Amino acid sequence: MAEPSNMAEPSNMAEPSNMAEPSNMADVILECRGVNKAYGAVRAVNDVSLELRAGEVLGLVGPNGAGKTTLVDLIGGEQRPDSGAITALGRPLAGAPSRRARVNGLARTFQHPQVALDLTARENMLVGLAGPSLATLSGQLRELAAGIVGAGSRIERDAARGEVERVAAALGLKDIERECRELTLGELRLVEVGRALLTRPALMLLDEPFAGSDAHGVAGIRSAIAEILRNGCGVILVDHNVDIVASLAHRIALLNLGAKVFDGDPKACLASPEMQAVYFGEREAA
Amino acid sequence: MPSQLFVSIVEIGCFFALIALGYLIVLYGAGFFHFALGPYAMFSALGAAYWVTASEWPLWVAVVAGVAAAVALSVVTELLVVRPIEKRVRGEELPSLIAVVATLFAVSQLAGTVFGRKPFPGQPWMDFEDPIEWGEAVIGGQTVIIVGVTLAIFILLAAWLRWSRYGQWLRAVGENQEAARTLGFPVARIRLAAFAVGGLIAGIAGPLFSPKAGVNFESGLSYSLFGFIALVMGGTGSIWAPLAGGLILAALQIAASYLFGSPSLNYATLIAAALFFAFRPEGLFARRVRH
Amino acid sequence: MRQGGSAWVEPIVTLALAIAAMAAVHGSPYLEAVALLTCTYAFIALGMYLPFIMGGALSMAYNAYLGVGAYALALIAGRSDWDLAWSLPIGMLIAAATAVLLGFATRRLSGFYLAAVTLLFGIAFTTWLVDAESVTGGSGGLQGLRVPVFAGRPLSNSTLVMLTILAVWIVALALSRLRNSPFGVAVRARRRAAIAVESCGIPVSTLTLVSLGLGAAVSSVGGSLFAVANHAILPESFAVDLVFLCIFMPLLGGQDRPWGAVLGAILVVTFTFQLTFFKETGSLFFSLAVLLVLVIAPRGVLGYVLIGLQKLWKGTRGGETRHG
Repeated sequence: MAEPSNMAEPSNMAEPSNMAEPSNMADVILECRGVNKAYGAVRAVNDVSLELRAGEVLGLVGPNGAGKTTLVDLIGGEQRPDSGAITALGRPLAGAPSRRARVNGLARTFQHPQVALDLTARENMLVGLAGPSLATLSGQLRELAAGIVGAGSRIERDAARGEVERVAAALGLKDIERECRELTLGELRLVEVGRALLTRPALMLLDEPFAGSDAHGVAGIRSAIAEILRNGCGVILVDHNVDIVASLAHRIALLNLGAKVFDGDPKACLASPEMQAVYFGEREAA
Repeated sequence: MPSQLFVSIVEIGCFFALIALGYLIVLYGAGFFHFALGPYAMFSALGAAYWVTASEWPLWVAVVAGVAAAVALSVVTELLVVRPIEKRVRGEELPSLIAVVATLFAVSQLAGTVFGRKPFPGQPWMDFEDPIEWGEAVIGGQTVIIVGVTLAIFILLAAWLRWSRYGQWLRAVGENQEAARTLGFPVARIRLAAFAVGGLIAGIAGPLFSPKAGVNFESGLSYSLFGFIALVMGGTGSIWAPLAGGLILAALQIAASYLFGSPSLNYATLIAAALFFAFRPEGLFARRVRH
Repeated sequence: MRQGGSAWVEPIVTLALAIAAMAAVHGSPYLEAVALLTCTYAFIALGMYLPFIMGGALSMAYNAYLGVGAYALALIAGRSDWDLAWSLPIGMLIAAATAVLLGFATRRLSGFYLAAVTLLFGIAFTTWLVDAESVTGGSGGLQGLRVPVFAGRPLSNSTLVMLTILAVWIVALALSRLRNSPFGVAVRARRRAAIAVESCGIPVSTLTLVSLGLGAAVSSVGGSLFAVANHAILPESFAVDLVFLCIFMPLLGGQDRPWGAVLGAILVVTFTFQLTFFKETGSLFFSLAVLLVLVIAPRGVLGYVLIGLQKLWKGTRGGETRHG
């Protein structure tokens, strides 16, 4: 696992490094078809269709209120769509988020880091490692007994191999025995990414991982993405910062007011009239 | 069912409705379930009864003092307990829940210490020489007062929410305190108003109803609990929803007592609450817009 | 898990304290009775530790779980020839099933709903105890329970006290180990980051129900011991007020470790029963103390003791110490 290099400006990266181009014949691992979600009169997600292939980074960009996080919630299971279909590897993506993680290999980070501040970084990341073992009732009971007795825990066995430390090092996260109360926002985001990585996902949703991160944090996430792709997985990368996303993604989908207005090559997207219209307004600012 | 029971349903329903209304106001203004409202009602009722019997105050003075005490307790709870805790643990709900439960208990114990642990009968506000007869039922003066005051409070509050500045702000703030703050609403003052009004309603409800059933320092727990259930059953979608919830809960309890004996009141409430929580937690009148 | 020698400090120190407690109360029937009451409270507080303090789910039906254990023992003692030890698993099973059912009804709702429905259940339970006379003996309760046989002889009170203190020690130690285990970490993460736990593939509702069930089972053991200690039970002993005291215990004693729950039980019993000044106003004093702790000193007595000890340790060793 390569050490994250001390990268300066992300926009120096023209091509995403360490990332192989996905072949055109790669499996479609996630597909959204005609997904809708409305809150009263507001259409948060308006007839959105997109697909993600294995080994690909799909960037999802758009201004505030474009529906990016709602779409991520719909894929992740935190919210249900009004209509439309979401499938992963041909199977419908349904049920609670825990079911999607277990059955479809989904993992995600959150716009506001969902981290237990009174636990250490290591303990928070351990929850990711613990995911598969605690996914069923019998698994939980087994771990409960193992926890009291002090032996027989599958999670402890995995942890003893240094999985958590390895992932933390790969992300550039130092001193994981600190309580999360003491971590910066950027470090909290890395904890979230590390936790998600430890669940060994097939598909990662990264929701605004760069907001509040410094160059070091950005580099860590960049390595995380490389690591995920190495395992043949896919990444949906949501962020405000279009430049970073363009430097990391193989494709970009641009959302505005809930609808997808562009889907294609990142450089083409940056130069497109749709981008102009969405971010700078055709005539007047909204 | 004997028609006298319908009278009881209305009386008890109004009481539950008022407590539930108090909950609703605090929910609108502070996004918080004010579990301690029951003891405030109890404190007001017990205090009024104590001051009339032991201190020989005129009834109106005692009732006003009781209401004032309830408002004071509610405001103090917000300033010294709920606000500091919510500020310390942004987002997590458990500490506030624990704190309000501790407050519930503390106010009950305070009442027990100050007014004693004996039950007191309530003091009627008005009594008819010849009670009204309705079929086989008899409607006494206090019943008319209960219904009248309840309706008056609901109407006044509906008007306050619609037309007064604080009332409109209250509706706008709701459970999204952070958003309201960034939009420039004076959240701290709105919260204070909500807690004060909640305490006011509870403070009036207590002495209003205690002539019917008496009151002791431990009554506050079931007031709080049944008021909460009434709120959940009615829903939060309309200012009148607590009235519906209160009447339904009262009807349920009285029907169960009549048909199966008085212990079944608690069983029926438990089963109804569990069913509502499981299948219709948003109540009968749900809010139309997602919050 | 902590490595090497330091992992033994906790069990040894606490066992020494437990043995000291046994020695202190031995020979005085009064102190033994106080110790048994303290242990009963400690069992409830420990029962609350996993779902409530660690997991953040407040169930308020603990008077019922205590009662289930007590009445299970009383009924087996009074109406059957079975070995009294059967009351433990039977009580635990019924209590756990009840907690799971209640938790299931509110699994998608916020903490206030769980508190309300469990409080209702606690009230309904006390009503039922008085109501179902043929089963529970009604308001007169169940009296004259036969004494259990232990190692071939009738169980004396002194032996019972020692066994009970030992049982509290075992349960607290087990919870302490569980707290540091991966399962415990997941439960603790649930309290403030439930969405995240869910997204890792762990169904939070299942986790909550397992915690609630186990907590109820632990409390019911306390109930069985209470019945054995008193040779009789009355419904008043299981009133809902008990629940409030039991919430206060781990908060006052300290949330950082299960030992705080035990300390809280000792504090409650000492102040309520030992210091006669507090007799009438004891509960008021407690609730105000709890409010103070919640607002100003959330770590409780044990928390600040631990901080003090750590500063001392750091001072003498001069090395890095992590907040445990």
